[in-house]
Amino acid sequence: MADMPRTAVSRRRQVIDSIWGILHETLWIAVVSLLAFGMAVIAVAVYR
Amino acid sequence: MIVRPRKEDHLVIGKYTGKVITGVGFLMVVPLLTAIGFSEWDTALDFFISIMACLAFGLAMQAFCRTSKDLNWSHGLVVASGSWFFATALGALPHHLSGHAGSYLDTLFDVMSGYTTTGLYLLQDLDHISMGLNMWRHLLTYAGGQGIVVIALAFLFKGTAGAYKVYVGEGKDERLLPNVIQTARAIWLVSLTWLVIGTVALSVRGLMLGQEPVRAVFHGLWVFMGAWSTGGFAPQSFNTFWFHDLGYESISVVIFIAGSFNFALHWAMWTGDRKEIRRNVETISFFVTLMLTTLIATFFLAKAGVYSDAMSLFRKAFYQLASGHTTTGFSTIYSRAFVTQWGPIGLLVTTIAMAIGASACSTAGGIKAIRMGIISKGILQDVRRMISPESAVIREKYHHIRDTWLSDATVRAAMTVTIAYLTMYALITVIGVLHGYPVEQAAFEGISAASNTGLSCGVTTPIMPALMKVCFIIAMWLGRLEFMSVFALLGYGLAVVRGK
Repeated sequence: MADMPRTAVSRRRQVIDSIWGILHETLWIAVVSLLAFGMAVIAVAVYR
Repeated sequence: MIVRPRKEDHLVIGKYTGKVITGVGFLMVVPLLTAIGFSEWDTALDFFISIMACLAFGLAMQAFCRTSKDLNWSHGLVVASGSWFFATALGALPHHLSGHAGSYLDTLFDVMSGYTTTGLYLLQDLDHISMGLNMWRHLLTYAGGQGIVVIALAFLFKGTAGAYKVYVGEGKDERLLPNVIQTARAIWLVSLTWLVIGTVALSVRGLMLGQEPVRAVFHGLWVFMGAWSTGGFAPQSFNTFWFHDLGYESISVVIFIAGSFNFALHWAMWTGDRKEIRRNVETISFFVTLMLTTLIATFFLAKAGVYSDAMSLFRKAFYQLASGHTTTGFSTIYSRAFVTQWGPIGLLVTTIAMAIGASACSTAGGIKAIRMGIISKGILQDVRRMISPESAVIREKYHHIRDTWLSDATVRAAMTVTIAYLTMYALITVIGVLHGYPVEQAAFEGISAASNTGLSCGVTTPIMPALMKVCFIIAMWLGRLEFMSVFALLGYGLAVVRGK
């Protein structure tokens, strides 16, 4: 982040925020996938 | 009356186009080094020739077009679309020299497909091409996803005020940071961070599956590039289907859905605003349409008994739909299975998902989730107005990084681009039908190209009619640059010929 504007936020804080950001994005995708899996379970149960 | 461009206009467009093509030449150093590293001397020579061609063109343009004038809006749009045109023509040289393409048209198709992150390909014997050429294919799609102009902005342009105009010309209009060059660098920071994480995850999984270490790392890197850029290129002709592994598929799903997010969303999440992903109109719109298309496909495929258990059904239905919706184009079924197993309903929902696409200012194509969200809000606003008393003031808001009141102008702008996409989808389908393909297959393949997705039901092959290849190339180009800059280039050409 060398070329980013300097703010009061420390470099360490920026890195921690980035990691949390990536984890939240991954969690959101995991939840969406889980819902799709739930649909598949219900669909198979309905048509079995 | 069309005003004929003056000499100064030609000079400024030539200068900045030259800069971008010089950047493409520098980019080819990576596959050149890969080829040298694997002792692929023929491939190394192909890249050496291609680099010389790019540098000769790029540096000559800069030398002949010396000017201190900055870019205006029309210059920016012409530079963006013109750069993509020349970058495709020169970027196709390594493909052509490799001998794996049937014609130069096929190589142009593959390179435009790479830059636009489409993923359709006509290269022959893909499973046996050199490491150097494979590196170039994936680098093309990775660079194209971020935008080749964004690369030039990030690494070659000095702080010019006109830079923002070229950036917008490439179909991106978000400013993550006040300065457009810092924005371009922020986009690259996000992409490179994900590159490290994604490549490590895929490489480790590849090693666990028994791949040799070098192969695992290169396959991990290339599959990451194909996934993150929502491009769909992979080192094997069967792309992620080749691995037959839930773990590899899961990692690639995370990467291509993350790759389809707006860079402004990534930046908001990375700077502490973690609620943004649940509030953003794009992610909500994407979630709703992905869930609806998956629901229809899942229940239809379950009823048809195509997949016997819930896990197989989930792995196949969700993967193809998520891949289609994010406009990635990775597939874990055979191309013809879309026709023979998924049938008309399966083809239709996948086509709808591809047509909608994912987020604006991301690596994805299609109409874009933000436009779907804005149009839906606009319809909702009109319905509320109709059922409310005449004196009531009804105004909708939408949230994208910040709350914004929905204006008629915003809805009209979203509708205009949506209609342009729908018209292009209709035209490309008609072209397929006129060449003898069944309408559902022509629509699937044409929309896959025009939305920069890359899923195929078997229409795209080297024996496809040449006119269809040309139309697909134009559709990929138009779809990626979202019309305006290509129209600006055509208008510029017309003005040169007929202007006064």
